[in-house]
Amino acid sequence: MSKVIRLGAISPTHLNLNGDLGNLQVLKKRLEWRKVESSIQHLNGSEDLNDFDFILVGHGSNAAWKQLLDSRSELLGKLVSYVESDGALLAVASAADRLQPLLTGVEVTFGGRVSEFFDVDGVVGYKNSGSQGENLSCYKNALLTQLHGPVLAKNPELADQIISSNGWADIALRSHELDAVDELAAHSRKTAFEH
Amino acid sequence: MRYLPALLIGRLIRFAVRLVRPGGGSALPGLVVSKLAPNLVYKTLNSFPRGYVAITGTAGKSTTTKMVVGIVRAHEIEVFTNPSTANIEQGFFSTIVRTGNLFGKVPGSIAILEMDEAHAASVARKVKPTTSVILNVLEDQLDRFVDPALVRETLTDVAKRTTGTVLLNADDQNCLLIAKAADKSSNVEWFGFSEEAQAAVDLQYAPTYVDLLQRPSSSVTLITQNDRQVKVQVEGEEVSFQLPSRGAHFALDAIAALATAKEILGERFDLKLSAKVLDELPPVFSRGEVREIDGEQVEFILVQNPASFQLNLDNIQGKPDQVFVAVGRDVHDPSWLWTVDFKKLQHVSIVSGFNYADAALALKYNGVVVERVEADYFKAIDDFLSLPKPSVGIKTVLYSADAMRRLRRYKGFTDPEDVNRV
Repeated sequence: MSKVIRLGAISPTHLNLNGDLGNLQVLKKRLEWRKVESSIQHLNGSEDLNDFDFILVGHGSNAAWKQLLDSRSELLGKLVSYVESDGALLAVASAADRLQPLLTGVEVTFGGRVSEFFDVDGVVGYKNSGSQGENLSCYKNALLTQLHGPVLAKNPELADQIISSNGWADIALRSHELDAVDELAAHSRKTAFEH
Repeated sequence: MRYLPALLIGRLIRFAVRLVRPGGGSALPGLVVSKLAPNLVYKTLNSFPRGYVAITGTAGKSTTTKMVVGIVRAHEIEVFTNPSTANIEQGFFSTIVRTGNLFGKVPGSIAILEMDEAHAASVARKVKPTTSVILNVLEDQLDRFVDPALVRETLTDVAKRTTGTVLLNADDQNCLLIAKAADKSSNVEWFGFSEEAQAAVDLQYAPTYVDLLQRPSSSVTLITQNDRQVKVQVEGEEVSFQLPSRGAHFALDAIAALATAKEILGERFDLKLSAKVLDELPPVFSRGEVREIDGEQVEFILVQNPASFQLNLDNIQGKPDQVFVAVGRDVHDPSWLWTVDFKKLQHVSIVSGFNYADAALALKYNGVVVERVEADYFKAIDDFLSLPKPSVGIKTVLYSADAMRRLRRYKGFTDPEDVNRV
């Protein structure tokens, strides 16, 4: 029996303000359409993160982060260790702001809030923040982005890059379901700038 | 006299717009008059002998306002109000152009107004409301408001500036925080659900992520709800009536309306008469509105944010066979569609509207079968309405505000009063 890909989301009750959790649903479905089984688990931070193939840290409000970290002070340290040991991770908006300085030593500055779509080298997504952190960057096997919500649904190539680089499935395998959603994604990226 | 030229121009524009678009013309005159005579709205609000009532919060403003207006009018008090689509300042200007005379004088001894959260605060800074009603704070329009905590701050400002009573939802921790921050302890009234009614629903209030405050006791309380039938207690006295539409969110609107009407009317408040008004009131359009089209019933449901999408989905009876989903241009950042749990929908007949691709992606990735995606919105409407009558339930339209406006204009359903109770 082939391996089940384990996808974990850190406390979606705190960190899913803009539907970032949808990114795991995108990975799950794209794996399913390639006949690879996966599971999505909501984590409270006490788990051994190395038991997971992918970790999502979504965006939350300051109050949500405060409550989460008050009860789980070791969480950011655990996430850093996970990334340093080459764990695959996606950190969105405020999560990227918190992890970037810990991973790279570069502080994130704030000012001039924007609320609009951005195109970062072909990757399209919505930014609603005053963060001056990079809109999309990589550190080891972690992807840090300011583009919130279902960025992997809008950008299936990015989703498939995650699937392929982690060796979960052969992305050359296509199906009519994949063709249909990828066509919708192309239209979604186009209309993002027609508002 | 100084507002006469602006109002004259506003009326001419309204007339011209309605010539080319029957039923339209609500936005442009207001926009023009707001530029020509920006203080008109404040002068008008100051002119009501009983002041003005601001009804605000994330969800339920239109229905609550319609209910309060209905009850107060039934007590033979002349009321000025705004239609549900005109809850920002520009809409107030349009309403004055439409209903007032050329001197800006509008009829009514009290104004009862539905107000968008941010505009309620900006208007209250110019003219203080006599009474304000804060229904709830949900996660909504985050591309505009960013964080529900900021909405709380805005609504706290409204509460602070209210000269009389602030009415708040006892079950929403956000409202408790607002009352605390506004420090209006002597001038606050609460409405809420009984423990039993509260346990049966999740009205999706935005989490506050701080220690919970103790729930205050409510003067108007929903005791039980069974479909549209509700039992409500108002200071010890119980009444029962049928809501205009299904769903606990409409029960919340009804108890808020009773509490507000009681506050406005004082000793004149007649509970039985009020319950009768609510028992007969038609829904606000597209809030669970059922309309007969070509001999077949069709339900129209406006979905404006994650909570309203979720609550309305959960309230759909059974598993509808034919569903139309349209997300229009008003949804600037469609990310929030991904916070909705779509499991109630097994399949959707047609997805359309400006944001059809994002809506279809959210549905498909969440396991909903999408039978058809149609980019041409009017074709989508025609094709959906001409599908054979469903074997289960009735045709159900779930749409955002822009998609609603376009459909109503296209089908000629433009009169907000032309909504019947089922």
